[in-house]
Amino acid sequence: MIKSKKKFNLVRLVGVLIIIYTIPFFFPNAYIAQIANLIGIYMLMAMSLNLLTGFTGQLSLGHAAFFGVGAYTSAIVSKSFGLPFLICLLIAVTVTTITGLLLAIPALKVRGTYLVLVTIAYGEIVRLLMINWVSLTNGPNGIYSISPVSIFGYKFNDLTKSYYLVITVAFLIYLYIKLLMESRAGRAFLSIRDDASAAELCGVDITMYKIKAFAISAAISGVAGSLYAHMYRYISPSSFSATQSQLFLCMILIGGMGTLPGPVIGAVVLTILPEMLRFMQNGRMLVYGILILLVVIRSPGGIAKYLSVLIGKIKKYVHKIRHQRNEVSSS
Amino acid sequence: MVIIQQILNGLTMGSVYALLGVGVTVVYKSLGLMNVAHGDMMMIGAFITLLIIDLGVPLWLAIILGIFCAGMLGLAMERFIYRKVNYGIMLNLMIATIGMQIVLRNAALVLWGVEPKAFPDMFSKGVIHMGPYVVAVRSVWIIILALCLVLLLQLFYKKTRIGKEMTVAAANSTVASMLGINVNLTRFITFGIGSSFAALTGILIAPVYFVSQNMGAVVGVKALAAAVIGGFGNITGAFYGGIILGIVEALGGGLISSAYKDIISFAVMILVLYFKPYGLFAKHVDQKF
Amino acid sequence: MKKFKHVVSIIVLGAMISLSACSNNPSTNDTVAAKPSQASAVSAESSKNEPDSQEVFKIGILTALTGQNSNGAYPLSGAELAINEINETGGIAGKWKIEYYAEDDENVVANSIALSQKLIAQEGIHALIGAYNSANSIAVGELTQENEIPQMCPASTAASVVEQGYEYIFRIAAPDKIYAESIVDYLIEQGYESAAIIYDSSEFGLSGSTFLLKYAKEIGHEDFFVTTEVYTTGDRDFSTQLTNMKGYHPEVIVPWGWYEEVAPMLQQMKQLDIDSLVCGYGFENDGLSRLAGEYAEGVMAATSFVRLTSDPRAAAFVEKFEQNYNLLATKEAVNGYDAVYAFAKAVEAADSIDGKAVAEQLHKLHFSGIGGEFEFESNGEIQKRAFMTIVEGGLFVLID
Repeated sequence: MIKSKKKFNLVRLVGVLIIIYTIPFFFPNAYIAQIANLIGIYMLMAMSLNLLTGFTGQLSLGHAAFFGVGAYTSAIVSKSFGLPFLICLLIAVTVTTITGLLLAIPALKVRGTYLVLVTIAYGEIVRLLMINWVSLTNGPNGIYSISPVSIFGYKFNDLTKSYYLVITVAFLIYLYIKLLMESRAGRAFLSIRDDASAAELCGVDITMYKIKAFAISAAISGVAGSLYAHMYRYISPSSFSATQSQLFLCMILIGGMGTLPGPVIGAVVLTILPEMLRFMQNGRMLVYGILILLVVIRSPGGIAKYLSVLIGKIKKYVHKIRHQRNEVSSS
Repeated sequence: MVIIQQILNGLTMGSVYALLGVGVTVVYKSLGLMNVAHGDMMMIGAFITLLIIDLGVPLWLAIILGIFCAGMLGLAMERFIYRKVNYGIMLNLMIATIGMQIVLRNAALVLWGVEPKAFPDMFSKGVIHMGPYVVAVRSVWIIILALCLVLLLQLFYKKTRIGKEMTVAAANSTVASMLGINVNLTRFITFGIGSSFAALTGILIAPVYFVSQNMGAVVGVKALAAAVIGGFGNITGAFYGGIILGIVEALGGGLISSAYKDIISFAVMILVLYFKPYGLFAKHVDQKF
Repeated sequence: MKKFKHVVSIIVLGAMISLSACSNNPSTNDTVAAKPSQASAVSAESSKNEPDSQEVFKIGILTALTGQNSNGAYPLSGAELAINEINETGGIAGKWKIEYYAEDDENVVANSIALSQKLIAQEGIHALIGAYNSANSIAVGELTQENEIPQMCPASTAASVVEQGYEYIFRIAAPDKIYAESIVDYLIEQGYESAAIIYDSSEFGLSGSTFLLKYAKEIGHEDFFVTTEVYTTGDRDFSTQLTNMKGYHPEVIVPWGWYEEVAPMLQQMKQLDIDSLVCGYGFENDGLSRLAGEYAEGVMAATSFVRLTSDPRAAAFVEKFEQNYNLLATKEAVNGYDAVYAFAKAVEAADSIDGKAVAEQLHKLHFSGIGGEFEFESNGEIQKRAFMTIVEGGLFVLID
């Protein structure tokens, strides 16, 4: 029984991989390829936020700051020292993780409402630093002509090529998070979200796990930021504003907070939607806001939950039909 | 000395933060909910009043109507949206306020566009000279208003029946219902009061800062900072918190750098949260979320 | 959990396919929602799919319509006017009809990149007018360079726009340098001895402030500017900065920023009892008077185009523009208009719509537009004259 289930999962896994690796052949032009890249990067950001907020219950409205720190660090290191991409990535991730730990310090002391405020303030401080610390970040002008990703000499200077890289990274991180959540640490995270005091009473080291959650979340954001900088090849403070943080939150909310596929769905939907709704201009964000309210009121589990409920219903229906048929044939 | 003038400037901005902060605190006291959309409520209040003025209604009447309408809007928001969200799960409620913020800001964008709009002045444009220092007449008015309103609120909560009921409902809604208090009604009224306060603040600052869809963005966060610094749930605390924030900001901008003015406010907020998580004047209100 | 991944990939696939399907339809990009306060007559005729009887010169117009400090409706409308005029006479040299695609980047750089990518890859434009603000134009410059598409900036004034080494970028707006120099020249000529700069922290403001200081030093008046203050776009309270400046008692205050911020600044100056002259750049827009009312009277600004002009050709343009659009004719509108005609002339000279050829011709072009007579330097820079204007009765009038 178990063996056949495992086999079935393997088939599904292969199916998924085939789909995401053959999609590029459907790219009619560079513009679509760029959107696909962006989806991959936003998937990473959404997964990172979901880990912190969805799984560990630490609501963060400042995640664009991590994204920005990762992007800027990678860009600055790359332009100032001409180091190869992987080193830039490593440094970006390290710096972002450190900032994540910095945020964890007040987060250990405050929770809920206060934590959100701290994250908002943190996001604003980082953004203002980006704009005003001109000697480091080139100020509001941003950093341009960032070199494309190049690993061991192979240049990912084509949007289709970088898509492969981005989607692979996203896939690997997805697996990582899945394994993480199935492990002891994952259960600790969930316990912190559901009832921190009870968890503490049961002997869970809340402090250590909170720190871990912030660190891992920041690290993933650092990866996303670095990839973003080298894919877009131009970054400026306007891409890392409070609106962006809100957007990330929307993604996991609408996709399904606290689920594994949630952030993935959310990233896809909320990246494609603005492109499709471009004609609506101002109305676009309004639609998002309304969507959030709808999701929060009707289906707090987001699209993922809705789909699982739907699939559950379909299964039941199929089962019922089969059952009826069996009854008819047997009578 | 420039310093003293900066402090006077800070006092003005501070009263604005104080008024908004008090509004946020009122809502928090009753629901345990930090309304991220409070600044945007202020913005909508200003816009509604502007709309009424454009219809030809005289200024003072328009202001009263505007505050009233904003209050109604707040009531509607509580009744039809927030109440539908499960009050038990604070995270969801918090997210609902974020969603509300996006909706309010972008609805304003769609309805009124992106350009700022002028607002008629309800105070004289005069200034008062105190030696080499200058204070605008309007600033004095705003400070006095803020003080009066805060006192009124305190009286309301301590002396009136419904005020006392609201305090009980805030402390423990289950016990309150057992005592026969209509908890839904208290929440409902609270939102009305909070929204009216926000609208009033918006109207007060509109002549100088103009009305635009993002006017509530930065001020909103600072109002939350004010409430936090003062100690969440503490109305007088929020008032002082706002004043302190305004003065610190002005001094920081004057002494250190005007470019980093905003950073200073946020940094102060984080520091206060870190060292005194219950605020500077906390009466140790139980943190609900 | 695995079944969800399956579902997810189906959604992704479906989304990709649907997105690629909708991308093949060019008509989705023609509608531009202009700002609600302006009734921009977006003429649909020039954007529809023309029958294949003529070759088509596709112009992309990337501008900021919504978003902070977005006044992109002006160059867009100016360009539209020119495009319609040309198409009415049978197109460029009677051979090429112009089709245009307008996009709104909301003054966000990431959008500028994505949208120019869209215009280039999906719409297949041959030339680009845009972006609006300097930082956005620079970001796009890399893409136009890579794709060999001539780009003309109708409003980006920062020096860095033409300092990137891009060969396909042309600036038809007068650069910051020119405005800074005329302001300093005028003030010193008029006998003022001290001034303070208050500038926006964006690339635009930073560039302006830098030039003001540099030029004052160059002409031997190093101590002319006694202090500088900075603010962030979106700020509305300037009491801190103004109080700081007041301590230095400057005779003139030079703001370099957009009118949305300068308007409240004017009012706050009065409230702080500051009576210095105000003379700067970036805010010469009727929005200033609309917001600041009486406080805007007597404020001076540098500009490269004066609306109340005696030049008959310019006056005719102003009249036609203001008749067709609910906007006052500003220099950005003129630049949008001139940009189209400059492209048209280059296409005619090159006898081709190929990007490389057109860019080559642009470098050699001697052009006489509404905004004056000019040529492009090798790095795409332009030389224009600046004028000083003053607000009288709510409008900016020329000072002679």
